Amino acid sequence: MLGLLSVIQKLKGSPEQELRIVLLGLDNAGKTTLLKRLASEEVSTITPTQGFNIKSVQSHGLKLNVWDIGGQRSIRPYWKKYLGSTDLLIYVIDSADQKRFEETGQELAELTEDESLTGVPLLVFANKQDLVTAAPAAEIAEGLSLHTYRDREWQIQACSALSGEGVQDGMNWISSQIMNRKK
Amino acid sequence: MAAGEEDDVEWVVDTIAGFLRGPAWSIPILEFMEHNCEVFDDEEESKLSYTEIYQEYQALVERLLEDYLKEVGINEEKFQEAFSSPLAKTHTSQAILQTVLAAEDFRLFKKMMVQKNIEMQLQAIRIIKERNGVLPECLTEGSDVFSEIEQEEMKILREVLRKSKEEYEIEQERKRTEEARAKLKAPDVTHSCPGDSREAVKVKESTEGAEHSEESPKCPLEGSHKSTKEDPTPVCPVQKGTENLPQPSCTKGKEDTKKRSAGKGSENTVQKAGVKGPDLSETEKQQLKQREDYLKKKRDLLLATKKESKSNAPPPSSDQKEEEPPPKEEMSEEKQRLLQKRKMLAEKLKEEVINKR
Ligand SMILES: Nc1nc2c(ncn2[C@@H]2O[C@H](COP(=O)(O)OP(=O)(O)OP(=O)(O)O)[C@@H](O)[C@H]2O)c(=O)[nH]1
Ligand SMILES: [Mg+2]
Repeated sequence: MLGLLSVIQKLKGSPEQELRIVLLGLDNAGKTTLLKRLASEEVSTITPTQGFNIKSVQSHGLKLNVWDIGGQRSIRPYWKKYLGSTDLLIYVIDSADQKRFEETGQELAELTEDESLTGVPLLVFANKQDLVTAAPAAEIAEGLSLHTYRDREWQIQACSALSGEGVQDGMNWISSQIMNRKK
Repeated sequence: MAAGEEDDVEWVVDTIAGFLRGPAWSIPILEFMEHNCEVFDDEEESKLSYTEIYQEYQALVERLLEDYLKEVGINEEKFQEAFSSPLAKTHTSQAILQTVLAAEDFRLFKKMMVQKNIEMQLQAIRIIKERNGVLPECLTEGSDVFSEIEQEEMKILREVLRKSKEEYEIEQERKRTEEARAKLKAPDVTHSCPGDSREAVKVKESTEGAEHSEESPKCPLEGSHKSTKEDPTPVCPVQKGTENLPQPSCTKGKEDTKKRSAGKGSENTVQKAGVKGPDLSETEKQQLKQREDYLKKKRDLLLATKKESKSNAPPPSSDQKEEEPPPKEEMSEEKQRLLQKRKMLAEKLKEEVINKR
């Protein structure tokens, strides 16, 4: 965006590569829990996000700046303001919230049509796998018709942001994506 | 040939660094911050409204930079070349670059705005304290609960301050633009006298602070808190003004202190021989007077409201009570304590913000 500034930015003196990751999904999906999990913070006292959170996460020698934006219906229209220069999209789904699978599918479909996300790799976290009512990741992938996505790399990862299970696998996929892109 | 190129690079870097220190940059940036900082708090979660303000800031920074480069005839290539050279690092500082970098770093921007908000709270506190007077010995016993009522008061205070600033700045805007334009045409003056007109703008407020310092004996607590940011001794308004230089950097306090002790005389000279004509400062004085009157009125209104709400409330059962204000008779003393606590809190917040850098 700011050509002039990107030059001055170099004087800041952080040599490591920085990446912008946006974390989206319906309200109550577990985005903020995941963000805090990634930052190794306490996940027991999280309240619904009215605005957004940003945290930097170190992963595989990369600095990931992760933006977690509130998912309540009233906030969703603001999502598109945060999509610019995104390197990777993480979409979080509450796997136990079957009633809202359609809704979350629509939101994701709309997102992937956004110009700023063209070609941007997509990681779907099928979250809350610790709940017995959680749908398996494969089922969710089918519901979202992920296999029809041609123009971008995608991955679905079962996880529990609460326990942390599966989260690291997702992060590994992310870094492999970034490495691939660099080549 | 190579030496010539190097000179060129050096010239570009120094020119831009000079611009970033001068009023044509710092005044609009500072004005933007003062106008918009009010919604910024120290919460971890960011408000959606920050993003809009941030985008406006990006646009402002881009516009200011581009306009300036065009004016002095530095094209983008030259700029890139200069700022990619090692000279850029040695000839600029993070403090100078901060306001620029904030346009590409949301978190830096947020920090800057939070800090500005706190600074403005402190200003409001200073004004209120001046009006109410301070007890000779700052009694700080009692709870350190920052109650909801106090927070409410702070909100009102900030609102008052913001409104008055807005009004004042609208009045000033036209003249500032002219000034900035005039200074752009004289870059040398710009460099030697950073933020000069800003100083003048702040003089009145600072004078208030200084007068107040003379009136009321300092408590040790206050003195220690003031160590860097505020000069504990009443100083001349011009110098006080330098505190408010539009560079919200962590080194600001130290730099200012140094400047103050080292360059007292020369700074005054600069101010006197500065680019502003005496007619301008006259008008400014007038407008500052207006602003002061406005603040006075607003504050009286605020105090009246406070009084009313307090007389309606039941007496508190203990100091720890959050909801109930004290009975009317105790108000004055209670007020002093609230002010003190508020100041401490603000200082604490400020320190935190500054040290986090
Ligand atoms: N059982 C279980 N609960 C989870 C998991 N992840 C998050 N939660 C809970 O789900 C609720 C919502 O989590 P948040 O992280 O606030 O959800 P969010 O997506 O940030 O919601 P918004 O901020 O409203 O968009 C909280 O009560 C979490 O404790 C999980 O993996 N398993
Ligand atoms: Mg959230």
